[in-house]
Amino acid sequence: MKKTQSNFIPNKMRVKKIIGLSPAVKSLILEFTDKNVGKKFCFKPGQFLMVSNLGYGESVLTITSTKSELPDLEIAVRSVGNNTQSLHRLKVGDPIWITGPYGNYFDFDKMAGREIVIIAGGIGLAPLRSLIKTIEKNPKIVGQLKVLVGAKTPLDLIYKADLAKWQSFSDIYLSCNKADSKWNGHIGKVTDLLDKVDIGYDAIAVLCGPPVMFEPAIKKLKKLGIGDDKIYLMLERKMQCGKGKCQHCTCGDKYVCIDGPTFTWSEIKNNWEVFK
Amino acid sequence: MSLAIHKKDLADLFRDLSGKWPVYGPTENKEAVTSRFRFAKLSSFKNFAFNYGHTVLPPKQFFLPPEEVLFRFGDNKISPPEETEIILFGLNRKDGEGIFYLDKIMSEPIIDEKYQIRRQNIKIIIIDSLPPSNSLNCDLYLQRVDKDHYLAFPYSPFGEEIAQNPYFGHEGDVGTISTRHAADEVIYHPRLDKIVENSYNHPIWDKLADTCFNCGICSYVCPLCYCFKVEDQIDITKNVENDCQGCRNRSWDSCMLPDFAKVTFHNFRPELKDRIYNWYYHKFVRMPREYGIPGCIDCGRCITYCPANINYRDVLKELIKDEKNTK
Repeated sequence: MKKTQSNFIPNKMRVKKIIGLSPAVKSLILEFTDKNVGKKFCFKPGQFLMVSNLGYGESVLTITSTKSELPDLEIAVRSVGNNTQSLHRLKVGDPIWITGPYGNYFDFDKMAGREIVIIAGGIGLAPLRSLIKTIEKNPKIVGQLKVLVGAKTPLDLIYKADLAKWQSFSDIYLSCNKADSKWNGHIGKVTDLLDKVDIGYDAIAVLCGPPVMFEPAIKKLKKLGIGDDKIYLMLERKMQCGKGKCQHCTCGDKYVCIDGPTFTWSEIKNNWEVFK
Repeated sequence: MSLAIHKKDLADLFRDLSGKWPVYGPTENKEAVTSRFRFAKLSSFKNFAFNYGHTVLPPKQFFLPPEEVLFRFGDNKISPPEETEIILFGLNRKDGEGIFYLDKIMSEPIIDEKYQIRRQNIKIIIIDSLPPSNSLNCDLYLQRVDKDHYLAFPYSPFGEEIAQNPYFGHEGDVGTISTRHAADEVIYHPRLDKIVENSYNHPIWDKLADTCFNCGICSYVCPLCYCFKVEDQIDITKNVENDCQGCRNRSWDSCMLPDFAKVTFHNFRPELKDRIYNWYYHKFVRMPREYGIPGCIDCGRCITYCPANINYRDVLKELIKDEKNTK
């Protein structure tokens, strides 16, 4: 791996726009206060940032925008902890601090010409939005795209406007654990959709969501004949540095921050603590 | 011919150094019941302890302190703290090797810049009766060869400069540099990584979980445990929403502690048994594969200070003995 000089000093950004995605999730669009820092910043779909409101700590948040929106960056924040709650209280123009980008990214060479199946549970759609939006810009970089999204209730479903727009170049399938009669998607788990959707054996599946989603999803994907190296999982772990030092994100022989966050199932299927 | 210094001149060397830099080294508290040795700022050579064996906290406390400020913030600005130059005087070879490995960990594959800034400001002088090994990043090595004489090996421009002092004279030939490790030490067993990796279902982990208090002392006293947490500390008298005054601190953590892998809604390592296995897995599987060295210098600090009397040498011996029976 390439040696990179890395420190803990964050870059200053400003909140440019706030969009409510669900009662618990907000999307923040950020701009660099120093244009020169912004010009140098680059990232690829799948990479994440450490984002903080100084005094409240840091959170690991994946970039949800694409490089065509640079130098602006977009993140999705679910209000769950000390820092994320404070990020929800930010107003347009307020400062916000980031370090990164960290982690690996999606390899479009491997995805070229293939059927891509995205399986996202809850907030798990946010880390995959950059990938989907990159395909939206140039749908020919992959064969075809299917997006399977699950949420607790229709109210918790995030990126509703995007999902409507994405139908123009991909097949969108929605499910909710609980829903009223107005809901015309599936009622149940997002992994149920794998039984209903037609998926080829040489597709690439990309999973992001709560840990309980992975085991049933992998089982079904393997049944469809999809190889272990074509099942991609985005893992979540506690992180304190993003540089492979602090040890909080280790998962067996892997660091989720530098070896991941995206792993193929073949890389981690023998790992002793993947599904802890 | 090689450089040497007489024992009586060590006090002069110390005085010269402490006139220019703060000097830290091992010191002894004779009244202490346990833990007689510790590293502290030495005001005079009289307080320096030769042959200290091991201190409670390893020298990592100077490179990766129990708590340090990464930067201060306030008025929407960030300022990193200044570092001061210090000299670590009279560490033994084992502690020197611990620093060598910690340096490696903190620069590969990604450089920890904060560590490097601190590291560049620390000069190291090792005093030991063993010859220097090839796993040292020190400035000057003094090897005690008889009651009164120390051979001097400068390893950096700073060390060369010190060795220019008139009390360094020339002596007869020196012996060859020793091999790195005694081969019989259990931590250098050639298949140890495989053995520990395959031992996840061994009953020893349940047994250890029954005795371990998960207090984390084994991590704190370990020269090669380096896990940390990062937290913000704020001045509540000046706290304004979205413009706090305070600092971001990095402090020691321990993978033995229950919340080590806990995020808001999920704990990724809730079982003590898994945390103990992970401690050994990190030291004897992940670290050898990452850095080519075990995460242990066999100093025995964690054995001395474990309140549950857990001894990693015994644990590893049992795993090695049962190698064929576990998988």
